[in-house]
Amino acid sequence: MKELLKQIKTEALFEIEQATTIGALEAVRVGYFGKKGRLTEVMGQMRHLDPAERPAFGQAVNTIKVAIEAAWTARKQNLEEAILIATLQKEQLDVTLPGLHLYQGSIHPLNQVIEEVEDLFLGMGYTVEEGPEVELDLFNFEMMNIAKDHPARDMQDSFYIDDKTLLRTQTSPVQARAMLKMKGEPLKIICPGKVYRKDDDDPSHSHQFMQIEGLVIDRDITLAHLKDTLLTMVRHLFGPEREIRLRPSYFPFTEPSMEVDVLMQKQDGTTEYIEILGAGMVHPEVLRMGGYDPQVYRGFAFGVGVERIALLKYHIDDIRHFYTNDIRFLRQFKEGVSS
Amino acid sequence: MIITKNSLQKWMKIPDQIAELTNQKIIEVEAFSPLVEATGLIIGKVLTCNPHPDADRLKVTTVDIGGQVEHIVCGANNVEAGQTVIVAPVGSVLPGNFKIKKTKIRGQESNGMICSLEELGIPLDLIPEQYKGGIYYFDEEKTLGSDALEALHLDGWKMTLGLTPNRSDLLSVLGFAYDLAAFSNQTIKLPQHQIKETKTLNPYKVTIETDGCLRYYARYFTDVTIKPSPMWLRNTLMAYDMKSINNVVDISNLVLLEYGTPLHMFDAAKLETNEIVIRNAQADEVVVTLDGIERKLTADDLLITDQEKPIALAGVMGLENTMITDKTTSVVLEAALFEPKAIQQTSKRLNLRSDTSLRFERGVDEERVYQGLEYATKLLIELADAKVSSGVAEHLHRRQLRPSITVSKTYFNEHLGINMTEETLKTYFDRYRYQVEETENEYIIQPPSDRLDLKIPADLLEEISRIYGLNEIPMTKHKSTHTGLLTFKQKRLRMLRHRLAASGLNEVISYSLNALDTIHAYENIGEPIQVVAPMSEDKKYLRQSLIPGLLKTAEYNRNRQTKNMHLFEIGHVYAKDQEFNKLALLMSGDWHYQPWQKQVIKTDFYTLKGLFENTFKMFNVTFVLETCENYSNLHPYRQAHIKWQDEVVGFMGQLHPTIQKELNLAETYVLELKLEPFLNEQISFNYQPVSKYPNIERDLALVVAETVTANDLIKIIKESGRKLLQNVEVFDVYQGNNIEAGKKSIAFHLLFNDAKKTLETETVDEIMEKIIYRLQQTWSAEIRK
Repeated sequence: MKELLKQIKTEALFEIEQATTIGALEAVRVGYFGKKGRLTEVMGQMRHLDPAERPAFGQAVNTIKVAIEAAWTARKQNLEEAILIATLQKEQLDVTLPGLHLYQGSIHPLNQVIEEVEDLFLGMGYTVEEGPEVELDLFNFEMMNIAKDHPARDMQDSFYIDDKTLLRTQTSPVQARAMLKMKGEPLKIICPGKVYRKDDDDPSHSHQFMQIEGLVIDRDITLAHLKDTLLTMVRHLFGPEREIRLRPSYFPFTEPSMEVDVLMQKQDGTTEYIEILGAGMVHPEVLRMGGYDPQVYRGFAFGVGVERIALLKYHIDDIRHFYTNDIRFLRQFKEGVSS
Repeated sequence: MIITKNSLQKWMKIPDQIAELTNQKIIEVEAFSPLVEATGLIIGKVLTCNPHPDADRLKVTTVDIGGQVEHIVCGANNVEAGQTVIVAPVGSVLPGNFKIKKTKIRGQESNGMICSLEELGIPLDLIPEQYKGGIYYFDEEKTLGSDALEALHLDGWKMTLGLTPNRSDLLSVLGFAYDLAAFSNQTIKLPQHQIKETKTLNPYKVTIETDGCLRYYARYFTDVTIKPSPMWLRNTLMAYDMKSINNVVDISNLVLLEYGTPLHMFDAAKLETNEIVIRNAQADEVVVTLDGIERKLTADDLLITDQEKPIALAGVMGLENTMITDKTTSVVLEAALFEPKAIQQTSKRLNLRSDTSLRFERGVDEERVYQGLEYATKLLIELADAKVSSGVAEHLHRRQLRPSITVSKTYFNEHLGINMTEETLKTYFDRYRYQVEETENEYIIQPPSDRLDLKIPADLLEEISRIYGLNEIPMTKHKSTHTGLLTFKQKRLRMLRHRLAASGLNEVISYSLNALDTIHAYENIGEPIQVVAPMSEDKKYLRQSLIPGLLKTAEYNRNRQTKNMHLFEIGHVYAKDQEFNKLALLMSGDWHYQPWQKQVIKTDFYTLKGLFENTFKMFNVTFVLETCENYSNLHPYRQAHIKWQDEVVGFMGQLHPTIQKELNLAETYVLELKLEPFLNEQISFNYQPVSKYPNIERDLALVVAETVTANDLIKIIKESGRKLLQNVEVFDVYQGNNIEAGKKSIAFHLLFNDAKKTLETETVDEIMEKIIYRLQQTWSAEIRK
């Protein structure tokens, strides 16, 4: 009997190993454990045994059964795995084929620049102020110390709508509005927005363009504060190694007034100073008209062209690109471009 | 304003790096270059001049260039033996980097070139008639072989200043020299002109009868000879881009440039009296100016008269009736000072801007008026053989207002953020020629008379800052007590922009000024705003819709072979008393696609609608679309109003096929929305627990009249479904075979859930029955079997 069991085991394990399909393996199972299976038959013979021999025999059969079952399960897993692998193999992809082409959107470069500047100044405690583009002469000129007969009005030919209204020629009127709103309290603002001047459109002029103005009014403001602010902005926009140079200039709303040049690297690697913005200490008359006592309060202001920044930053050759909106142009401006 | 080395060095020693110094300390330098961009030009004398044997138009010359005689072939027809000429010898360079080399012209050796003024780069209109089209020759002997540009007074550099309106003092070489002197520690000395007067007394008398004239001087000259100016004067003016006219006119231009003093000369023979009266014009008084044009005046204009008649439009232009001609022999020379505002309004109204009016408008130094008069007098005697009668007729009506400026001693340091010693500050005061009185705590400063722009302490701050050095000022961080934050509205606008870009739309910025025919093409928000004196018809009106700008962009890109365009713009629109933000979207062509897998999301009405609704879901804003027919430029059956809280806030639709075709666009959909209502719409909500119980789903296929909208049905379903109905989705729409004509099938997927307990099938069955009943009642809906 023992011999028989040993033989069954040997044969079963051999057949399991020989089975190469799930079907064949199943047949092996039926052949041993089915109703007429060999092991089932051997078990059936147990009742003919002496009751005393039965437990030992049962244990022997069971040991073999467990061994065969374990081998069978392992073999089945093997076979299934092989089948799965064969199936998956057929699912091999060409990973280099193009993916779903999602249309690439973009944020207009000028707005990217504005957000860049806004974020810097928000971090320095500024708020962002806005105003209408159809503006009163009062805010655009008069409160900026540019009286009706002021020679500075020659400098900017404006789109007037009537005697009192025009398309703002600068974002400065927002300063005037903000000053009145603050009712003599210190303020710290930047004002981005569209402005309009009667210039024929050409590679370096546009009748519509964008500016960002900054204005800080407080008791102890000095020119040294302005310089620090300008350098911080310039380095944020153009890189930490940039230097600035100030030159005397004239704006009716600031005194002293200055123009700011930035030492820029040209594409050929050489450096040169390029004029980038205007700035100055707020003219006492502007403070007074805005509701501040110039004996107590001082301020600084600056204004920069948004297009100017983008032109320099990306070496763009024609300001009109910003307004013709060629999609091939717009898409070049990814977010997160380094300074 | 142009400054030349030749005129500046009359006043001072020119410091090194003049252009850099000027740009850094004084005013922007727009251009700096040699007056004539040529090198190596020398004086030569034509010894012989013979026709070229093989060329009719050429001449073969021999030219003595100082110890050496060269053969030069010359093409000018005015070249003659005996002339002293400008020679460009071999090795010299003419403007345009034109290098002179040894050459042979038609077999004749030519070692250099005899030059015309044009070849030196001088504009044709500045060249005297006699030298046009030919070479230049001197009218006197010069040292042969010496520097020709020096002999021509055209050597050295020329610098163009970018003048700002405040610095009227820089409108003369002398004024510039004064400022430059402050930065190079020099003192400018004015010459004392020795005038030899005749014994005859100046017969003229001057009377100022208007506040518009501050002072007036007149000198009387006889025996004046009008003739061409000497070469140095002609060429000095040429360097300033001024054309030489004759000695008398040139003298007044030279004084203008060098001293900044505008002068005027009258032909004395044409004056009817010896009384010069300055008065305001009468309203509608008519005069004929030098240029022959009749001008109608107002009472604000100033006139110079001889008591009988006007003789000059003060500070702006002389009159024809007393102008200097070739026959003039006696002259009245005027040097005067007028009120800037008066001159400004006259020159502006008559559109008569001149070098004279410019200076009067911006302000002339009152001291310079007399100085200019005397300089001109000296030159008239020297260059026009004039005799000047004894004495100056004058009337000093009032002095220029030049307030002294009081500042505290700490003022400059406090405002500039620096620590400058009092001693340093006082040296600056001296260098700027300030007269300073000192009290314990203050300086009382009187700026020099030519610095009319210095009126308040802040003006002096600028002066001190530039002499101290703007670049020497330190940097200090401003300690902020403010909180830097975007407003809710600003944040939302940014989110919207980023979301649209991330969804796959290109943001554009287009022009606010448009042509009239586009203004109401899509929406009429009110009375259009028009600009006065527009640049062109297509930039005349302010936009009321962003759609025309988007279409222009689409057309531009389409013409450059871009097929798929998905654009948005956020910007203002304008009408009388209105200005607000709008958002516009345009989608045309395929949006997302995958050709090799045959996948494509084409643009249609529902693509745009879905993108739009999804964008605003983030802001918890939902819209209702309602078919409309208001927009003639949209497809008549594919347009809708966008409603929010029962108010029309925008529209969307397909571009009218006719316009699509005109613009060569694929099927194009546009949408426009007033943004303001949503920018301030804050979301406030409480968290809702997520249901722990299972859903029950049901499908409902209906057949209804084709005029019934999905929204009609959904509204009923939602009403009847009540709280347990979580979601309704359309999953099929069908019209055609198996459906009665005029009807359509529409199928919904309904999702039920009860957050409090497990939902019973029976409960949902009941609800479904109710829904079906109400749909039958309201829309005669049938259940599709």
